[in-house]
Amino acid sequence: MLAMELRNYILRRLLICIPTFLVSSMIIFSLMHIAPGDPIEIMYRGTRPTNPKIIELIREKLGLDKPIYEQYFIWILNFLKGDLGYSYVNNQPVIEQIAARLWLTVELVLLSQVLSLLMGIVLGVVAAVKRNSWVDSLLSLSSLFGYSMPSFWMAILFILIFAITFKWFPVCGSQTIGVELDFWGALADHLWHLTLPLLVLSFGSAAWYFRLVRSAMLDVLQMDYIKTARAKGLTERIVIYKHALRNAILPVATSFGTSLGFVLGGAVVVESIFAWPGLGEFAYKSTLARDYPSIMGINMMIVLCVLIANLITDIVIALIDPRIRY
Amino acid sequence: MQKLLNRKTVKERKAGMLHIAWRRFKKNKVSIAGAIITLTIAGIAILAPLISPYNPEKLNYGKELQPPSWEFLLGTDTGGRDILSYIIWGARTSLLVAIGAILIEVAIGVLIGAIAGYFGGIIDEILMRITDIIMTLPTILLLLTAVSMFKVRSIVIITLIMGALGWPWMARIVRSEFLSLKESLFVEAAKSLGIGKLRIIFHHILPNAISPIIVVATLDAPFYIMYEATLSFLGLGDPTAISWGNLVARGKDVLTSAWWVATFPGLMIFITTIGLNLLGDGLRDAFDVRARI
Repeated sequence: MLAMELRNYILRRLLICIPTFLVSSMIIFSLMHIAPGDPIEIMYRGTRPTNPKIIELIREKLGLDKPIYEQYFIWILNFLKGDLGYSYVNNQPVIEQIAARLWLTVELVLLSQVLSLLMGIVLGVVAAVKRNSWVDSLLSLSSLFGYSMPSFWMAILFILIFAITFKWFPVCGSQTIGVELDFWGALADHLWHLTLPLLVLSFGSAAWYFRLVRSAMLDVLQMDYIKTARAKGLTERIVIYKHALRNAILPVATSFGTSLGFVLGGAVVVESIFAWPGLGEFAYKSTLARDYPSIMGINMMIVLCVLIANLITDIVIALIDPRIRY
Repeated sequence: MQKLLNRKTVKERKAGMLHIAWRRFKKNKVSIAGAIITLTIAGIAILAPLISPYNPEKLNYGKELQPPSWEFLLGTDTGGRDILSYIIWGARTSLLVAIGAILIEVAIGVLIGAIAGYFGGIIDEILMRITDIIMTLPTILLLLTAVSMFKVRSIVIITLIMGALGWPWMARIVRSEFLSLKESLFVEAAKSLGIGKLRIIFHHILPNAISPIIVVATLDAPFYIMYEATLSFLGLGDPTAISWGNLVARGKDVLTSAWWVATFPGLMIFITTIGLNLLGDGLRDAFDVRARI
């Protein structure tokens, strides 16, 4: 029975994703189409063909002569078939460039989420349990620094300190170029490049999770059922990690979707600074070049990632919180 | 006589609420620190022409990349500009951008939140779905996308874009305030007197929802400062503006030889966002809107 309910819940969540996806795609499409300036002008930069007949032909070929809703339908159908158009910069299919870069961003973002969740939850619990001690003050202050520090500045400081002064880590890139390495050597080299961008990306969201966990724990620890658990003679460890944390972790789970969007935004900045060749860096380069097909493709890809992540989050919340029944 | 008495009590009660909030705010040393930092930055921004030692945009040939000294307290940048003066004037840009974006955020967020919360039903459903979508999309990416549409990137356009994308949280909070307030007795009373919907929304409910609006606006301010600096740093901001982000970008290229160029403007962004975050947290606790935000 419960399994059926859960299945229905997941199905319903899945169905809600469809209108969300369509509305997002409309927002992205219209953002690009209310842009001032003629697409052909942008495509050809300074070397726009002067012959009006040729321009007419190009417009027809690109489908720009059709009404806007028809253009949208063609675009979204193509997207569903995996065709995101061609980059204005190098005429390569956008989907190929995204596919080549997607993994690097997923790797960076996933690892940073795991790292920051672990740090945020453990330190948040410690701070809440040792409320108003020097440990709590120190952790809270670090967390304030963590979410107040602009990530691009943190990246620069890290480069200055750890890459330039101490030379512990490389300044940029995702691997050493021009060196032959075996599998393990390449992996170690890759992780070595990953360290600094990962740390910069994780610090801010760890600070955010820390805040959530700490304040939720403080609330939960005041509840009667915690007193009951203590009165029953349970050890402090079981009371805190089994009884209190289970409830204190809910706000973290519910805010995961929003903070994922935040981290993906951070990835754009961090990837651009460390020249980490992922989607974020691609977004940055495409923006500089005003490469519209690429920008639209990246946005749609990110929307898909966020939707999938939110779906998983909803399922996880339903699993840990028995009160949510559908 | 009766009328006069009533009016006085309402006034007294309002003063009482502010008084209680101020008393709570005063007790919290951390919030006071936030207020002091914010006021100091605001003071620097207002007094910029009086306190900056040099013209922030004046290029000094032959004095490029000088380390901090008595002549240039925080050194000079790649064009020989005095960094201290540049940072002082940069406070103006940052605060103006934040204020501008917040005004837009409040205008859009309050309107959408009020409509969704007051009317409910299908209107609420549609508005909140759109709000949720914008909230889950990465703001930086949306900003990049929006900014890429413009050939000329002026600070005004960037402010407008940030405000136009920054309202979802405000809309959510205003909506939830309206949801609870519209059931209250004074709204029932206003309705039974035949007062129009618009007047009820803006005259009766909105003034009661003002404290969460202030808190959200304060907590959003550091984000706008950070976003503007980030865009400028990435070279997608207004290249002519005196922006802390522009200076960090200039410092990035000379990081090995002149650490001070990128460090000091970044430190200013850091201090300003700390101040605003502490102030926002303090206001939230003082107005006791913690449970709702």
